[in-house]
Amino acid sequence: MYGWMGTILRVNLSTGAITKEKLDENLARDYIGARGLASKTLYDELPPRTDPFDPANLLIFAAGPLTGTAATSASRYNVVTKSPLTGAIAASNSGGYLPAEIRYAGYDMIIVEGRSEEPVYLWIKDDQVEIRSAKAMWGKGTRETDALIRDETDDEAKIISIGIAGEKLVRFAGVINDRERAAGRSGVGAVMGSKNLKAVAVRGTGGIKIKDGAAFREAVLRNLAKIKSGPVTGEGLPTYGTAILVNVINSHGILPTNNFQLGEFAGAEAISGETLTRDLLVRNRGCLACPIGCGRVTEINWEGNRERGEGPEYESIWALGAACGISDLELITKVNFLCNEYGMDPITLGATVACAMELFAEGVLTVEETGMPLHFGDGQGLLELTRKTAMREGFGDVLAEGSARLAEKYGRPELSMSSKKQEYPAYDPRGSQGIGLGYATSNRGGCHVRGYTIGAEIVAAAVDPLTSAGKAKLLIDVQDFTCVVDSVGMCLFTTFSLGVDDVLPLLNAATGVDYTTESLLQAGERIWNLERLFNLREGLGREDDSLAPRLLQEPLPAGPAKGNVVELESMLNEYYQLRGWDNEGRPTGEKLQALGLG
Amino acid sequence: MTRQAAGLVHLELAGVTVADVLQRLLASNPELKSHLFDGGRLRPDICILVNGRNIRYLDGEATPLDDDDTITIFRQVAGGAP
Ligand code: SF4
Repeated sequence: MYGWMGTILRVNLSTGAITKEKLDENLARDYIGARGLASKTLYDELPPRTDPFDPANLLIFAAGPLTGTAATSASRYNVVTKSPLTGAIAASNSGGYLPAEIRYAGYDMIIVEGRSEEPVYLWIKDDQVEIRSAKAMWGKGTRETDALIRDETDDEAKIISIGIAGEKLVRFAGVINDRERAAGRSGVGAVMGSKNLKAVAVRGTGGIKIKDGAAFREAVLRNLAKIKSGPVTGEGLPTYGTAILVNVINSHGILPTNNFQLGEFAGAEAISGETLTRDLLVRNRGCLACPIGCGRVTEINWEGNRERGEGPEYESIWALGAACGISDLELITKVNFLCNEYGMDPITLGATVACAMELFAEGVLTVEETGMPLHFGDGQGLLELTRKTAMREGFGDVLAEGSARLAEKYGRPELSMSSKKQEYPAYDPRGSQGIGLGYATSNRGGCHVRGYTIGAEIVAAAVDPLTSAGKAKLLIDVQDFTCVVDSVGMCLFTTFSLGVDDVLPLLNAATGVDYTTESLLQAGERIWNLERLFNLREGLGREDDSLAPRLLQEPLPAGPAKGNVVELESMLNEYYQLRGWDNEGRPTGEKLQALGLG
Repeated sequence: MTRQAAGLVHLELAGVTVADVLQRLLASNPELKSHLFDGGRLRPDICILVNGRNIRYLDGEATPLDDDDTITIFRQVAGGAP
């Protein structure tokens, strides 16, 4: 095969069986790779209603047919499993260098099933695959684990690992690769922990076969020029990283503050990308073959020591900052470093602490439960709870379940700012209607990267963020194209400058498949519908395509979007209709036929 | 002007419409002209907000202003997701 490596590695941790399977060419064409191909595998192989922590759950590390090639920013892989946070499909995306290494070792996907009796790690050196003891690494942070495993294997090995949060089954534990890159959301690290799998180490020395080298090179150069000249990819992200959004989003009055009670944060300037660049930035860091280099290496003074790490990104700054009313950027950065070390999603962590802070303000939670006063703005409280949550210690054991279970436990489910039990990211949808529909319909629960309408509604200001008209169509287009980008293995950030007709020639030249614009977008639509079918089979339905009551009933109290709520019902009806789904959000027989899913 | 960073500029100037304010701004800061205008027209990558609303959805440069209104100008270089 060209483009694809053509081999899937399967490891059963219960039996120790290691097998290599041939990738089916038709499946590869129809589901592309990474997110698409792994979702298809999960859909076909996971028995319905399996508990996410049951050994039968699959944990799939999947790269795309462009991952590791010279295509710009094609550095990504997806971690796919059934989520212990949402009960829905989880597809968590990360970049760095590890994803390409999986391909250089000869594989498109690594499927892990079963559960080991003892802590183990996988050591993959090209076609040699071993299950090794990880007793020496259990209980260690992700950085130390990375170093210990490279000592035991190969200094050039690239490592995926979990920290203490994954070991302790924190429902929003992520996995970390290349020491600082996170497939952070939906608790994929907790599933890894439930399998007693501490890490996967990969060293690959092979190459990727490209069908038409000249056409591929030409497409790469054309895309590179577009990326370099695009305002976001050529200037904004390289210069300021994602955190440049803090002031922009706050100016639009949609920076969710104090658990989405407000849309403007008085401390925004102190936690902005400009402040981060001025005070903490050491240098940029990029993933493989990426001219954008949006990663930030930062340094803080912490208890007399200089500490260095990566981040925080816009979303973490918001969740650990404005969401909790905290404006201390060094503290936010420290908590972000800890999240990487513990392997824990900072978005859900911050949003869960924010929910606890509101429960505390309401008098529902008291010091008796929390062990400490917990007011909005309390940075030290956040710091302390970060550690306790990762360790599942004291009140941290409750927070480790996420905000939906926390708010439910204390009889105030409406105070969890989540959909499908996954917490929202950093945009108040009352002032950007399309992203509200996006949160409600996202197949992995509250999330911005399944359908980033903020690009059109705010960044490019191409459509009015306050109107709901036309947003269903906009969102569907973005969701389907995002499925394509995630599945080929490119970074979503390229979509600020590239469209489907820029991805198409790369994919065709690499694989030799004759995709057209239509068939490629249809593959995206197929993947979206397949994820939907997975969720429907798990018992999710229309009632889960909803938003926290606050966003539907409480108008934003001030700022540019003052007086607005999300007009969800009308957008959702239109969305179902345009998707070819019935009133309950089920794809019709006709739609399934058209997509080859019937 | 209180701050200029990351292509984001906050203004504290008086005027009747957005166009008036831009004119005053350029009178005192002529070096900004090429950043904001291209051949007499506002550059397409410049966003102007009045109290957080993009003037594209108000009356463009003719958008009227009140005393306490805040204008925010930024270049569309901001992007982010993770
Ligand atoms: S844009 Fe940023 S996250 Fe995406 S590949 Fe480049 S450096 Fe990595």
